[in-house]
This record gives sequence, C-alpha cells and structure tokens, in this order.
Amino acid sequence: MDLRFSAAEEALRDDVRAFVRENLSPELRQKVRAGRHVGKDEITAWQRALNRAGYAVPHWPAEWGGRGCTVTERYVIREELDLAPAPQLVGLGINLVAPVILAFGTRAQKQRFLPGIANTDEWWGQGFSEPNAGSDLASLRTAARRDGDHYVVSGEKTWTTYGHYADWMFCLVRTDPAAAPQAGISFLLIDMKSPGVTVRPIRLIDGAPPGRHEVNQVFFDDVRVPLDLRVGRENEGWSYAKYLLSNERTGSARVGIAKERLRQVKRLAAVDGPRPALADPLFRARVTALEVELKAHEITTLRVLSEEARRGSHTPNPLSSLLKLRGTEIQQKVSELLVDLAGPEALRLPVAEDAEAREAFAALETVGATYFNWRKLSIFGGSNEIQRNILARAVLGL
Amino acid sequence: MDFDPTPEHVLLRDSLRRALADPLAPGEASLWPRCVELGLAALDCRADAAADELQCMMIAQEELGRALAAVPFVATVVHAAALLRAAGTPAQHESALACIERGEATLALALAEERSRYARPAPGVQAVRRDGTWQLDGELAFVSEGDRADGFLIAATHQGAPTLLLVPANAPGLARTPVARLDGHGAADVHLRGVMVPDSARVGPEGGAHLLLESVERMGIVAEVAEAVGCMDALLALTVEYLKTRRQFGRPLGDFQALKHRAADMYVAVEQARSLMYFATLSCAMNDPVARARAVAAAKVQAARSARFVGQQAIQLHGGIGLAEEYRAGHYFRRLTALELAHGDADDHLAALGGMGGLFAAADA
Repeated sequence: MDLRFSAAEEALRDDVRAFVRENLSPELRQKVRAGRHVGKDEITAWQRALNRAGYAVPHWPAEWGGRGCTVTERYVIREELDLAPAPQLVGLGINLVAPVILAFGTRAQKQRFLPGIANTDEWWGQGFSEPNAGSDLASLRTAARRDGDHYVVSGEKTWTTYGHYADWMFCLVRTDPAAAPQAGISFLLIDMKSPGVTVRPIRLIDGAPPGRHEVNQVFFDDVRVPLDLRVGRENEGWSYAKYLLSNERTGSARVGIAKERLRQVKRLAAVDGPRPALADPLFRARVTALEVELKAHEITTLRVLSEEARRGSHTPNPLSSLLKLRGTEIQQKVSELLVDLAGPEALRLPVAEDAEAREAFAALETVGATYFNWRKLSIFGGSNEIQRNILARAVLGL
Repeated sequence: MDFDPTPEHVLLRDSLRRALADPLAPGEASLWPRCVELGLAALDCRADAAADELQCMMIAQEELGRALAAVPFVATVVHAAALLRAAGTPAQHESALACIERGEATLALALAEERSRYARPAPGVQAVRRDGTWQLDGELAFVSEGDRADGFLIAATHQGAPTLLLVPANAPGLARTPVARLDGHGAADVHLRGVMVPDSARVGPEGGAHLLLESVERMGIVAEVAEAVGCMDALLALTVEYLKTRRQFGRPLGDFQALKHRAADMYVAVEQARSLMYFATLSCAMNDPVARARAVAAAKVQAARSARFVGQQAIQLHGGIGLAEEYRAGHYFRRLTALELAHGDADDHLAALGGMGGLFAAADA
C-alpha cells in the first residue's frame, strides 16, 4: 500500500503547473476563482491552448491526437487545472460523446468529428433529458422515424447545457416505439443548424441573465438527420448511453474543484472583516469537518482510481455512484460555507462587471449565485437518490 | 499509488478471520492466545516502525473488530510493547517485552486520566523517589484491560512531570477493582498505596513520559479506527442480510426505498472511514510528525462520526430485535460506541485538527 503518486505522475503535475503559469492569464484565473461568467470565446481559446499542449484529450488514442495516458495521469492533469483554477473543461465533446464515437463510431464519423472535438472547433450539447424523462431517462419520447436515407426527428430535449453554443448535439431518440423502453432507443448526432431546431434559454434560480445562461430547451420539429449520423446500431442507443455514463468513474468526484473552493473559504475566513470567521469556533469546526469529509472523499477517489488503473476496463463500477454522491454533497457544503461567510450580501445579484469596483466584496460577489446554481449537482447526472438506488442494488444487493 | 494488500497481508487477514470464527471453547479463557499464535503479540506498532508492520496492525485490528474479539491487543501491543520498544532498557526488552511477544503476559497502560472526561475524576498518581526506589500513591480510573493485565505501565507525576514506571499487578500495595463494561472488554480501577518499585522499572527518562505517550496513544487511535472499520463492515453486512430476509407487509424490508437509501448511506459512511483509516496508517509511515498528527485526528473524526451513524442506523433498521441482548447487532453498536469515545471523541479531534490548521492550506491571496 502506498498513498504517493509515482515520480512520473509528479513530474506530469509539475509540467501542468508550468503550463498553467505560462498560459492562464491572471485575469481569467481571477474570473474563474471569483466564479464570474466565462464566455464561449474565452473557454474555446483556453481549451485550444490545452489541446496544443496535449492536455485536452490525453486519454484518447494517439491516432486521434491523444497519448493514451493512464487514468491516474488524467486525474493528475485535471486536479492541477482545477486547483489553478483554470476554466472548467467543457467535456461534452471531449469526455462524453468522443469516447462513444471512438468505441462505436464509423471511421468516417471519427474523421469528421474527433479533430473538431479535440480542438473545440465545434461545441457539443447533450440531448438526453426531456420534460417527462428525467431520472427515468428510458421513458424518453423524442421520436426518429425513417424516411429514405434520413431520420425525421420530432420532440423536445431539456436541461441542455451550453445548447446555445452547440454546433452539434448527441441525442437519444426513440426509433422503435413498440419496443420496451430501453430497447427502442438510438444514438444520433444532430447538426444544430438543421432546419426545425429551436433553442430557448431556461433561466435558473442563480439569476444569470439570458446570454449568460447555462441550460436550454431544444425543440426538434421534423428535423432531418442523415442515417450515417447514427452511432452504432439502431435501437441499441441505450447501451451506448450507459457506456458514455460509465466511462469516467472518477470524473464526477470533482475533488480538485472542492479543494480549490475550500482553500478559498479558508483564505477568506481568515481575513474577512474585523473578526475573522475562522476565529469563531463554530465556523472553524464546520470548515474542519468539511476538510475531513473532503480528505475521505479524495482518498476514496484514489482508491477507485487505483482499482480502475488495475482493471483498466470499461466495466461500470458502482463506486462511481459513491463518488458522485459524496463529491456533489461536499461541493454543496463548500458553497454553503461561502454563503455563510458573505452573510446577507450573498443575496446581492452579481451585475455585469461593476462588482469589480467594490474590492472588499469582490471575492464573495458570486457566492449566492453559485450556491443556488450548485443545487443542480445533486440532481444532474443521475440524481443522488438514483445513486443511492444503484449503491443499494449493485453493492449491497438490495 | 496502491491500496492493494500484499499476499502476506491477505494471508494474515484470512488466517485471523478463520482463527476468530469459532467461539471460545469450554475452558478457553480468551481469544488472545489464538492471536498470539498468528504473530500479533510480536508486531512493532511504533509510529516509526516499518510501513509493513503498521499495515499488519491495521489489518489485524479490522479483523478483531469484525469478530468483536475482546482481546488486549491495543493495550498490550500497540501501547505497552511499543513504549517498551521505544524507551525500555535492554533488561526490560529481555523480560517484559519478550513475555508480551511470547503471549505470556499482557500489560495495561494506566494514565492519569486528566484528558478523559469519561472517567471518574482522578487525581492521578504521585511518585516520590527515594534512594533509587519509587513510591507510588494514587488512583487510576477505568484502565483499559486492567482487570486481567499482568502489569501496568503507569504514568506517575514526579516534580510536575510524568514518568513511566512498569509495575507488576501483584506489587504490594496495588489493588484493582474490575469494572464491568458494556462492550465486553475488560477494565479496572487501580488503587496504589505506597507501592514501591526499583528505578529499573522506569521506562524512558524521568519526567519524559509526555512525548512517548503522545506517540503511542496516536498509534492506538489508528488501531481503534481500524477496529471500528471492521466492526462497521460486519454490522452493515448483518443489517443488509436482515433487510433481505425479514419480511413485513408481504415483502422483504429491503424492498422499501427509505431503507435501501439508509443502507446506502451506511455503506458510504463505512467507506469514508475506511479511506481515512488508510490515510492515517500510511501517513504514519511517512515520518512527518505534523502530517501524522493531522491524519490521525482526521481519521478519528471520520471514524467516530461514521461509527455513531452506522451503529444507530443498524439498530433502527433492525427494529426491536436490534435492542435484544441476545442479538449481535447491539454488541457491535456498543463496541463502536466505546471506540468512538476512547482517546478523544469526534469533537475533541475536530478541535485539535482545527488548531493544527486543518488538512488543506488556505489559498494564496
């Protein structure tokens, strides 16, 4: 047993750190740190810089621009970027659809899409959830019927993150309405510029205005999709979706993000106001308790990682449910601490950039918005109740 | 990074599990000789021992917890033997330590209970030194495994600082009152009236017990965390089994989602404690005293909180039978509670960890 990363992994960590120092502008870093809105162009430019350095798709095979790095190396890269903190990698293309295309796509699909995904030349959206298919995803109703060499897609997807940026959407559609819920689903790649696609913003309780919003409704009104944009076999989309979700066991752990936020809590709680919050034993106890939870979660993540490194396969691991559960709960608790630090002013609506003029509060200006926004964490990607169901069934046999 | 046990660790775990599976036979007074046979009495559990030995300690304790084995492993090996190894004279190594290793003697560590709010208030033990002889007077409350121990390592106050002295249980002037404990382990109140021991009974320098004790107590906490993990693991398994077999309203209890989710949360609690058990054990081997102190405090906080949650919920999910003395679930709950409260509870260690600056550095400005 050994807790330490290998010398090669530590060297990689140093490389990433050096890369961040040279490539992440102090302005962008500050923006991410303060939780301010980071625009599409800024994210695109950052991800292209990552790609040039080999940090965007290191886990892909060499043939497609990756270097087949280990799960542990990938964890180290991600953790360093999160600790910087650099803008969150938008992984809809890189981490979600690309592995499915790599595993089940045609040669033509790989050539058409993978380079654009790696370099963030094209943005992707995920078309899974529907108004009546949330946790019960298999009840989705968006229909695709055959018409010659095309599907004709009709229906509605929702909660589409960055749908307003997306050039493409990977989408679960029902191709066999007569089959059992999970049996009649196919996996399509849909051009968002196709006639009949409408994207509408959904405003959230975080107060973000349209244009700076995150999620969308997407309507398909007889949208024609060529048959060769189906990934894999018809009616087997459910298994590809499961593959997609199981692909990244430790991705939902988000250890680096929680660490960075908690370190911010400690910084702010030590300096904020005439009487630092950390001098209050009740507040300090809450911070320390959360540090303990985070350390336990980090070690659990490393345990799963080391198991994954050993087994090296794509078999779903129910422990990813444990990581999702704890990772999201801990992040939500960090966001609570930040709100409590800010006090009533947490409710201040961040308006454009003018908060920068108010240096004293600048570090806490978005904590309210983040707190409200981060309630999503325990809901998306399979709600935490679904994760408990999975743990009870797959681990405990209940 | 690697969390896999070595083949030797697996062997130790499996043999211990087999050895502890059978209940005490008629005439067999304790499970301890079975543990001695598997080498537990000879483990070096000092903080700076080989990483491998500390991992053996962890694995052994997990199994002892799983089996609810009331043996004096922590008192005799993790506490007393480690003290003798760290500070004992060659003569003490040849006598007391060798006896422990051969399973011929058990020792108990008897501290002035100033840090324990669970013991009756005790003035501790005063030592007076005269002509190369120590005279001890005082009271020690609730000494773990003190009911059967062949001797005591006593921290006695001399000129304001504690000195460790090895006192045989049959020393004239030493009396003990066994204390019945709810968790089935042994304890005793120890009374000292003019007990005389030679200076050769001193372990470590005069007035130098603090540092020695701090280190072995910390290892004791790591060991108790591991025992708690073993207890929790077994109790969760027992509870899940019950949920699968007990039927109400025409179906197994485990069909009810409220109970499934509770069981899932218990599982999460066990795994978090297990993670920090690894963290504490492996941090001890890294030989950085500050990191070690933080890791052990963190592990204790997590283990204590998990132990309380898992213990309480196991009883709740069992219903009435969980409270029955004849049923094992309650025995695990009681042992978990003992472990939770021993050597500082979650709040004590949380405060200590906060005082050490916590686990993560504050961000740069």
